[in-house]
Amino acid sequence: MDDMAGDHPGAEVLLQGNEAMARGALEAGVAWASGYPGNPSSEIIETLARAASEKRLYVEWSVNEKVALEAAAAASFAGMRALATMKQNGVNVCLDALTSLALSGIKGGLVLIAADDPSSISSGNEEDSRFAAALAHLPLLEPATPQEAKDMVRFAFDLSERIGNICLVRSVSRLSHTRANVILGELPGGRGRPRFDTSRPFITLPAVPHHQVMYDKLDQAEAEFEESPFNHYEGPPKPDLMIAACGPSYLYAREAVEMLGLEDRTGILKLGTTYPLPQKFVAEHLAKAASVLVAEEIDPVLERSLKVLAAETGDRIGAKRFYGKRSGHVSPTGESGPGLVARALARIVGREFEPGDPDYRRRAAQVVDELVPPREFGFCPGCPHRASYWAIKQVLASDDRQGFVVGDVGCYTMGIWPTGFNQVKMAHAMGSGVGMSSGFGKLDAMGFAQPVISVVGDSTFFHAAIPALINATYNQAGFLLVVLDNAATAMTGFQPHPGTGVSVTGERLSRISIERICDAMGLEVTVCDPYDIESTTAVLRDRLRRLDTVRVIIMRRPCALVQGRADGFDYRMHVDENLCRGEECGCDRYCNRVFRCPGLVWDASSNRARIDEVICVGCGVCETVCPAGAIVKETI
Amino acid sequence: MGKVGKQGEKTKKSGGLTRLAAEVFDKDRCSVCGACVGRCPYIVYSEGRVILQDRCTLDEGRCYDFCPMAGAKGNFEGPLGTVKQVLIARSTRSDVRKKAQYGGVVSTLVALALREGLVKEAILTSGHPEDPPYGVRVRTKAAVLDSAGSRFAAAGTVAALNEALAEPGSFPLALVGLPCQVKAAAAMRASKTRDVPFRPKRIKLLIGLFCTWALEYRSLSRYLRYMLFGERAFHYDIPPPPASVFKVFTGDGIKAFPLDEIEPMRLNACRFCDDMTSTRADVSVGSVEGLDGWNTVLIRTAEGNRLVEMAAEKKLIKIDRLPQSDLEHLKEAADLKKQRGLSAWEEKD
Repeated sequence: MDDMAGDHPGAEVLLQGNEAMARGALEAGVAWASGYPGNPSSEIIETLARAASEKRLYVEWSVNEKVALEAAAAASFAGMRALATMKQNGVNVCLDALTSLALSGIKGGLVLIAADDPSSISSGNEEDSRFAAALAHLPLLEPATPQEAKDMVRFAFDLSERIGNICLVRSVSRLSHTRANVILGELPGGRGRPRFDTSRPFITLPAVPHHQVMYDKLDQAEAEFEESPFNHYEGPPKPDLMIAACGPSYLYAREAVEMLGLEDRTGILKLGTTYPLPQKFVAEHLAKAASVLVAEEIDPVLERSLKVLAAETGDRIGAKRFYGKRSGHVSPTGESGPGLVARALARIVGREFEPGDPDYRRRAAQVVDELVPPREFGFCPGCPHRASYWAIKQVLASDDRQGFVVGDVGCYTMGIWPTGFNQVKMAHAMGSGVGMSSGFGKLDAMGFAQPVISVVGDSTFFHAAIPALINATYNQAGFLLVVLDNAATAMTGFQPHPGTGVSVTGERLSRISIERICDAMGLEVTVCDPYDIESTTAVLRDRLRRLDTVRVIIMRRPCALVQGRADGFDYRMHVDENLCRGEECGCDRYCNRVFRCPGLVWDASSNRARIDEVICVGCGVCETVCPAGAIVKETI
Repeated sequence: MGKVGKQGEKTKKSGGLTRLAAEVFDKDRCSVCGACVGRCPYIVYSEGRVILQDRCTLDEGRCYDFCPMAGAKGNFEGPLGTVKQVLIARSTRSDVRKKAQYGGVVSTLVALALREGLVKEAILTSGHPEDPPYGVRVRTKAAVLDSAGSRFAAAGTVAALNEALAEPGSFPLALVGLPCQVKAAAAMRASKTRDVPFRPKRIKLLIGLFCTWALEYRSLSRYLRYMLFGERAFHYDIPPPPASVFKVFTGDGIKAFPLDEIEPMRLNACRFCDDMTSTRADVSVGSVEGLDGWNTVLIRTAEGNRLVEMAAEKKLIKIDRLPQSDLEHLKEAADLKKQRGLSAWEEKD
């Protein structure tokens, strides 16, 4: 049993932010949790899945975020408390469902945790999901610490039920993945059975009166927020400057004030309930200072709300000077931190300040340079995607029609970089590649003759590619769909999906076959093993010849990390130094300079390639790449 | 690009793939001879084209050294090059003549060289007319006859030579090729630089073909697909002047297309070629103007002479004299090509 799920009220346990939010849901008596994996949100569902059988709650990785929210809404309609989790992109995916649900209202507490990724550490975008709160007229909570994350999630269920609408909780990478001591609360006892009251339908219509009801519910939430313990003021009674902060930026603000020794002059208005803002509470504190610095992450969402509030209450609280993203004191892009808030603060008070010791940074960079082997952003050793892109590169290079690859979202998005031989020329949202290929595939009538290869991962195929594929097939678009099936949602941490035959809680389920889905559309499907470069190349070359319809190749080979954890690999690799041509004509370090598997390293002392035995997994693919036959695979 | 010397000769500098790409590929001057194919993983032959797959960073490489389109040009005297003897000849065997393009001399000489053990293997060009042509390695007369006849499209033939040169063992080799292919193979044979694991000294016999230009395979195949309405072609021919047609033998009879329509499909590289008769060969063979079923034969070296004499002694070929007026015509045509080629080099890029 995890510490997270233990029934020890008052106990202090070390929890990751995401675990703390999972705990908050358990303390709220959550019965249902569904989501789609994506950094930094994934561990919430995984944590709950581990507690699922003990706590008798249902947990699933849904096929996508829209379905995750809709399925959770069903539990809510049946009177149960339900949670949906996702990263910022997922909020976009479920937005249509979200705004409709907000209109119809819900019954059992329904909470949506959106985890944003400032600095795009593991995302294809940098986006502020908080705009969804205003768009859908839903209350928004922004926890600053793991403790608060737990408490807020628990509160969110209560609030959701009281106002009869979804409550949003916004996390960011730093909060989701930090660890801190959290004092546990009580776990509830039994809960009722789900039952849908047929006399109380949930329908968006009539839309206009329901739209008004949404505003009423927000008023109700605002009234609660006026008294919320998630908001407070700390600092002198009459500060020169007020920092209004939400999320982890509250902690950054505290550190910044301390770093600059401005405790006597600066107050911090810590806001946890950022939409709707509790107007009376905020106005009362804003009245204390003429200057306000807003500390928040990504877009100026709180900053705008505060400016609106200041405009509305200006006659009472006086004119304010705002510093923040609009004034250029903090950046609207990239992750924040204590140093960045301190720099903004220093600039406002006219002080010189550089976060951190520049000499320390220089020395750290030097140490990193010396001790850390230079490795680019790339596929792991043994990654089947490297082999797949290698085959694609060979085939497209020898085709004079200037074909190109349309990418999608997953590890294989890295095909935009040298690790994937820069093959991918487009990368957008989940499933977008197939939609775009559907478009390219119809341009032939206007004289477009470039062959298009659409790559999509197995999980992305289920998530969002199927409607696009149906569209392409029905409308007779011509392109080559390559499903890079590595039997996992690999980039987010090997979560199962409908093609894997297992659930998040470890149940065996019937696999849904990608080839049979394609078959049902009347598409011809070929399955090949990307490790077999020769036959994969031959199949690709053949299928690319005529693209008058959608042709499908499934390149099937489990993720190297999955294989490593399961049965391992068949080979031990070594380089025959006598055959290796090294930097001479006929090679020029082809294996490690062009093929670029990190398992192949260049030994400058011998001028020969070498296998890094520590990281080489033994997939054997590089054997076929070496022009001199110097890379040898031994079966183990 | 090398500088033009006083005798219209360019001095060849050494270079690598970057330089080769700049001088040849980027300017669409690849003659698809195949000399650079099979020597490294960066360059491949595919469907009538030589393709750069990846970027090599070396400043010097054999890809550049042996490329007939990079560096030195026009390094021979007179439009026909060194010629010991000029004659016309035809095979005495009907099985050979039936398959051959003109007089069957090339097939006869190759088969003889194989039979007599002068060489153990010959590099020829093969492929069904509708498929991309490619270099083949043959060791028997039957295989020689299977590859008889012209492909008219550039075929990367020297790639097969490279493959043979890289194999261990010591077997003498012959190559039958177009002027650019012969030039590349001759450069390999003459090269003094280290060429491991290749063994270019094995190249014992170069039989050159006459060539005014070669076609670009894919353009030709697209054109014919369109013009033949799906009918399959099994043989091509360009009869000697003044016919001026491109003949395509199909199941539905012979179709003739005006040469004017075919010529735009020739390789751009051929504009720069100054060698019509494979001046670097041991013996060069072509058609005879106005005389169907015969070959013009230019004997250039002692090896070439020995082989032709042997074929004549064994009565495998019948020999005759080339009328002086025809020789003048041949010289004129070769000179015209040489002058055109050299002036194309002088054009601004």
